[in-house]
Amino acid sequence: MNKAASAALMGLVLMMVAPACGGDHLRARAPATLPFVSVDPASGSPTDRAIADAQKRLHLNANDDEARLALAVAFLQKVRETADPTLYLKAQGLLDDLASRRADNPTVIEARGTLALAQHRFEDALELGNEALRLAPDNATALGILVDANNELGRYDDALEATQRMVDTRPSLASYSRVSYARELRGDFPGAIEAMQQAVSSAGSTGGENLAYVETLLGQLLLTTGKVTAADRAFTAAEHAFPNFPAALAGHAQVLVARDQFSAAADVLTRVVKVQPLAQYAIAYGDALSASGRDHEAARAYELVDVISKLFQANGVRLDLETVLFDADHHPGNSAVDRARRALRDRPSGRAHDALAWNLYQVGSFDAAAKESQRALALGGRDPQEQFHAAAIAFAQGNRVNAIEHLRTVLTENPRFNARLIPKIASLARSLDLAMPKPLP
Amino acid sequence: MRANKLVAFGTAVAVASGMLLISVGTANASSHREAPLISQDPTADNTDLYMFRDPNDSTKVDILANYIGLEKPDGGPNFAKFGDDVRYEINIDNNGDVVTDITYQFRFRTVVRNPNTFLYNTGPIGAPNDANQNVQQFYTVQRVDKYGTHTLVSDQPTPPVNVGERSTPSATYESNLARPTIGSLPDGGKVFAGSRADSFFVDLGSIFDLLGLRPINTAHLIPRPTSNGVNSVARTNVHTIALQLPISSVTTNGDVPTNVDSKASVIGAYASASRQKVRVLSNGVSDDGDRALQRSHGRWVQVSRLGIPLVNEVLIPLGKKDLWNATDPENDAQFFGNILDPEPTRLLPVVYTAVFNASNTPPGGAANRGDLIKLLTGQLIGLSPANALPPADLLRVNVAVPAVNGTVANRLAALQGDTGGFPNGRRLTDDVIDIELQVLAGVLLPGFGNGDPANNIPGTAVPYSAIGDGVNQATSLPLSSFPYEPTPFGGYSQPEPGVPPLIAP
Repeated sequence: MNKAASAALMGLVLMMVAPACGGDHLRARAPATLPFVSVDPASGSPTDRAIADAQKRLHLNANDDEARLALAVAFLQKVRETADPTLYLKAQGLLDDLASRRADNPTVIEARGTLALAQHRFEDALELGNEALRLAPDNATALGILVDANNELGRYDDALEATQRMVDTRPSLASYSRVSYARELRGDFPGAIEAMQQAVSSAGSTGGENLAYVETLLGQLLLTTGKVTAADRAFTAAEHAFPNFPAALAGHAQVLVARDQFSAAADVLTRVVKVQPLAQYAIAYGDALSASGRDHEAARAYELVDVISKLFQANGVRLDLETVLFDADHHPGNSAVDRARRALRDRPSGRAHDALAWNLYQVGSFDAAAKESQRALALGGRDPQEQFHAAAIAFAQGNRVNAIEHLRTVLTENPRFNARLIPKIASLARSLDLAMPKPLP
Repeated sequence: MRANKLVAFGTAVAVASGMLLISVGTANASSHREAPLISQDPTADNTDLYMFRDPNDSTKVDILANYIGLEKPDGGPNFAKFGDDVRYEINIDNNGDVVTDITYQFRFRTVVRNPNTFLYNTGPIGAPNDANQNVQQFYTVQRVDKYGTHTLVSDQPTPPVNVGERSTPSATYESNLARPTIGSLPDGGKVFAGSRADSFFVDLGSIFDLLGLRPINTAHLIPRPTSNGVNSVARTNVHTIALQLPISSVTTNGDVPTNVDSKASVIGAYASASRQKVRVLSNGVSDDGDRALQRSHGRWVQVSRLGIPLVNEVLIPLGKKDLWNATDPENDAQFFGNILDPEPTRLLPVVYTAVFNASNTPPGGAANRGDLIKLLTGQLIGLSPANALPPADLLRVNVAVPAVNGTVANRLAALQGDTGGFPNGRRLTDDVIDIELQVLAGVLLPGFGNGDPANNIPGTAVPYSAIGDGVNQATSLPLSSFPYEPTPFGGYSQPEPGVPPLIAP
């Protein structure tokens, strides 16, 4: 029988909540505490349909645990699409309730692990991933949770092992994109691009947000390696897959930056920030404005970053690394260094070491900065921003050889990855007698 | 409190940003990779498998496997296509040991003539390989058997998708675009791969709504007026790989068997799709060329399989799906507990309280579901208990049974005495939903339906034949010749409801 039917018939199978559940239960109304949202009945989005279907089942039977789980999972996907954080709390309510009664259900644990990752509770996610794997050996989703949590916690060997197991168990968009990241972390851009292309191709033509997400990552990898036209095409494909996808629009802005078209990039980023006011987009927006001489607007954009950052913390969200780096440039000082150290404690990843390195550099602690920078690059990563930081730190230490080596890495890829850094990279290149390439066509 | 803070957040952001109007809603801090954890993989998703004696040539058997379900015909410009990185397979067991003896492997290659356009075609497509067709797919078929691996066809074209009346006129789609792509096999068989109209039919909307069956709506716990069913997959397309094979090419003795009660007369098949493992890291090879070579030679992992309709989708629980899909039928015994205690059966007395109760609903387990054991062991298609095959999720056809046996071919197939259809293989027109609902309800079991759908469900005036979704055929009927599955729906006419189905001449 058709897999399309499978979804439906699984639905009815899943409604076998409790064999004892009789008609009265089916007729019971959902209590007011269930976190229902209104869904446009005309929406063609599969996520909206999943939400509507689960809510319909819960209206008929408030004790339908499978519908509860389906609703929580659909909420988690919906946040990916809209960044509406109230859905995290709704999902959490549903999952906490399920966890108390269905403690041994691996699918429930996986959903809780996914939520923990989204909220940056990486230690919790690791624990949940391991628990799910114990109950459902070789389950690809549980392995994916372990991959992500270990990467963020800087346990790269564990992450690598889980990545290999995940793709051995189920080659798919989910596992190929993690293979790509493992290679990128180790400086293998061609391999990362190849795996991300496999992720894109395994999404087929009906991928929605998931396809848009991996197309965008592919675009970023291509742009980093200087393949601007191909990158632009990937960002366009992402928009086709999921219209108005903010990360894809931001990718187009990065392409404009690589072409020295800062004002046009700022205009694109205005739209991005309106749709999804994340710190990283507000920073890119300020940088593009600043690079195009729109200093007054840039100052406002940077104020916005500070507000976002303060309010995130007021809402209990752990420091994100873009903000820590932003502080190094815009509010350098000992308290910024302290915040960077705290962020590193929460998630001892390479990127967190880099953020601390840059904060230390800004307060003149060049030797300590160099140590952190080495840790950031210990896996062999070729991330241009981290490589630029390493070059600037080495130059400040008077270590011209290391500075040249790191800056060469930046210059052989796409050195125009950040509107604010372009003049700094050009200036350091002049000091080191290296040629800054022309903007990409 | 959280909500208040968020409101404050929105206000403060709006104030701080001056001219920017910002919606509340950004706690999704960004700085980690949140690649999707669960991903759909329609390209490698096997939706249906059909296998039947050829209605025109009694020496042939046809096997059709569908992938990529629910394609919208107006899905341009990125129309669905086969995956270049997927291995599509039809696997055959011909000696009854449940181990695959013959595999037909399909691999596809996509050619994009102009990568700078998103368009599928830049003008009308008059023939396969037309220069106006920007995206083209070609394929190779290999047969793997005890003698080794043989290439049967290579660089065989697929037809274009049915873009619409201007690009691919429906009146000539079959004759000019599809039929010329049918390939010939060395043994006299035929092969086809490409877009087709889905032959499956089912009322998902009602079944998903608490196992509603519209024709018996009034008997439901939450009654509704009765009506005909609505075909939820109407006017959608799939991608099909199809083989028309001489029976003698796939039987264990290389002949056309005539003895119905012989293991050698039964061919068991399942379709599958596999993707390649990759090595995350190469082993210290610095040269990029070597690194790429090492990375791309991973083993294949089966990510989807289908044999008997319904088994994978309904009887295997969600937590076991990854394992099930990666398992070959020879190891199916571990799942029999789930199969022999079907959950839909247990649901019947919950929602159809006016009809079903504990005493007229068959209990689960091997001791009670002899009918399902017969289904899984080939005893429903002519084999005596002495010749029963090991149970497995294989679609089996007894080729000693003629294509249409006794009665006129009908949608309920063997339930109405027509043993040329399901579960003796599966034809495009077999109504597997209704057949299986009736079987799960006990129509074949002594003391319940006793094998006749006209019998009433014990203690009621309702016959087993009343159980059905009220959708009895697909939008398009099969073609009269290979590949039988009908012409795909065109994108141009798709948005208009009520357009008559496009049936090729």
